[in-house]
Amino acid sequence: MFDERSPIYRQIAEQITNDIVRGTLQEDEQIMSTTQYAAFYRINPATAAKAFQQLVDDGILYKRRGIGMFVTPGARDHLLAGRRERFFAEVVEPMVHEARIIGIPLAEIIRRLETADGAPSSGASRAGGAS
Amino acid sequence: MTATTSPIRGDHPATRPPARRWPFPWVIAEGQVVMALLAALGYGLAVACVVVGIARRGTITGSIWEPASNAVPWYAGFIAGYLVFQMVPMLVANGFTRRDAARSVSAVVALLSAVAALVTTLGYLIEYVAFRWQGWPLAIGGDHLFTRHTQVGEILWESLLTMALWSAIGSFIGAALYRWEHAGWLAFVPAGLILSAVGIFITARPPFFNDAIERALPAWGRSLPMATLATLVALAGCGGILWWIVRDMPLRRWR
Amino acid sequence: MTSGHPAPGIVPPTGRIEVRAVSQRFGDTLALDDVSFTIEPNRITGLLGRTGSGKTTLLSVMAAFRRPESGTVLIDGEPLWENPDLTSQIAFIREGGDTVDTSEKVSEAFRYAAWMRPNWNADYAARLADTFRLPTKQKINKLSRGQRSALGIVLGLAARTPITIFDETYLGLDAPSRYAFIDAVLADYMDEPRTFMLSTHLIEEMAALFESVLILDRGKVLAHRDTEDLLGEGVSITGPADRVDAFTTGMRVIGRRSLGRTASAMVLAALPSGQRREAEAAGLDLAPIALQDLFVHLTGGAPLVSPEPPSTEDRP
Repeated sequence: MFDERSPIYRQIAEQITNDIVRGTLQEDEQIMSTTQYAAFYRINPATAAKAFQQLVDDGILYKRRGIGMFVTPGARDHLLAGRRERFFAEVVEPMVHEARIIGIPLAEIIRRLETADGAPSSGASRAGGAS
Repeated sequence: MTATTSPIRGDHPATRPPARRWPFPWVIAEGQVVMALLAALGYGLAVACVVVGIARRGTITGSIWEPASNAVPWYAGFIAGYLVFQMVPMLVANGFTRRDAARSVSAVVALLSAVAALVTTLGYLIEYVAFRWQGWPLAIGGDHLFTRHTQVGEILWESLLTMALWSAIGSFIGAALYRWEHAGWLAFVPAGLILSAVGIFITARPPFFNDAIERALPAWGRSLPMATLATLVALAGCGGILWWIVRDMPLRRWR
Repeated sequence: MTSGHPAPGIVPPTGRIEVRAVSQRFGDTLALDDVSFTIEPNRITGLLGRTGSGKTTLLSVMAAFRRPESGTVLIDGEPLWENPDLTSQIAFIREGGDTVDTSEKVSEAFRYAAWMRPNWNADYAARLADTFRLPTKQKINKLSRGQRSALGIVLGLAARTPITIFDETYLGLDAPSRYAFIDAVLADYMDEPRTFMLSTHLIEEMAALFESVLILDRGKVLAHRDTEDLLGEGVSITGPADRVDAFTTGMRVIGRRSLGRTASAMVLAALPSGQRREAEAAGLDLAPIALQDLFVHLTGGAPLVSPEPPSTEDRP
């Protein structure tokens, strides 16, 4: 179901792009029609259509007249590239900012990240942790 | 969304329905005609009982149906008022213009007037047969434009005029009551005046000033042609009043 | 689609409703104050407004149930008043539907509807009556409140008019029936796109149905927007009061609440993502606002009323 507060078409678009990124929706696969979306989620079909139109404009979906909407080949890569770009602005920067507010030194963050990744670091000491 | 076509289906929105012209409202008329005939039957039987009763207890001195038939215009008027009160707003609410709604209901009312007139005439015929069979006197008591039961044409014609007039009056009273609620009862004032005025020429007797009016009226005043003319004029007037009330009548909350 | 001439079989969209400078007074009250707007065809529009805002009066005028004191209503450019081709295109359902005498049965109401409505679909009416558990053999004055609403809904949907207007027709309906109503309107709209207008107080339940919303307040149009656009602009900004006020200067603030040193401002503003990040960096919390809350704020907010005046001890 949708969070009724933010525009539903955005949420639909996000849902579809998430599905593409996760691989649930493959290239050239058809997505549900506006009618199906509308009936299933109890929303105005124009809202679904708006979401689809936005994705078409972004090149994520393409339309086959009389048949429906399909995932553009290469959409996943395109989306991943966009997400990678936004990752730093939307995830990393706020994390750094938050860390500063609550007083976590960046070195600690880096150590945690390396542990998570499992890759040895060059230079930075490994306090505690596995040896 | 700036496009004027539906984004969902670029093709057919609901097509325009065919231009509305009013067929005769049988759906309303059917029920009303049936009810009128049943009422007539019931009333006729009641009158028959009265006749039998009088015959047993005393003597019959003249037509019983003549006084009894005075109730029929009241039925016609009341039903007309009810139909206008109930049906005109319903039709307008369901897509009719006020003009078409008034026309449709008036058509039904006209039909019912004819039915009522037939009932009255039939009553005289039945009484004629029954009284002749029993040997009772067929004197007609009230003032009418006919004097004998066998003047079927005149009876029918006078009944038609009477029923039409009472229906037309009932119609605008119904409209007035719908539009102005309690204040609508004032419509009985013009109603009474019209009835009195025309009653001079016909004989659904005016309630007041009978004698004075009768003395003032010339001999040719009381005749079918004059009554017809007077009634037609009055009908036009009633129609005018009805239209004046209905033409921009706002619909009230549904009861 | 090369020329302007529509291809055979394609009918240009009908049902554009234009309300022009409509005013209506009842005694001392100005129910509608110079109201003007256009409803584009084939959309589902929600009409929102507080009790007494003039919603029912407006809809009555739009359906020619009443002639406005001043102003006109045009359908596809033609004046609606006393135009049979146009009045027959509109179904305005209020309460249980303006139908036969209440001493009659539901089936009788359907019979009359079949005669009065050129597009009446009897099968559809029967199926809808089934869905809403409307007993067709029952007399109308013996129906419950909810069943009367259901009757109105069935009459409105089965009439299949190009313009269908419902005035709070869900009163008395239980929750499953209300969902059934939304589903029925949606299914009908998708089957045959046409103009729908629904006035409602249950905004959150129906918000997703509306492509556009028209907000009426004290007889004037307060807003007439695509729902998604309106939702996109509603933002609540919460944080330290001074920073909230600094951030929201120059914006259209439609509501503000404070608790101690924290304040929450509701604004209508299109905030680009850069500005959003700025806000978040300044320690402000941004959240979208539900349509119902937007409506409450736009129409004057929800003042706190308590039986006793607030204690002076609590004042900061």
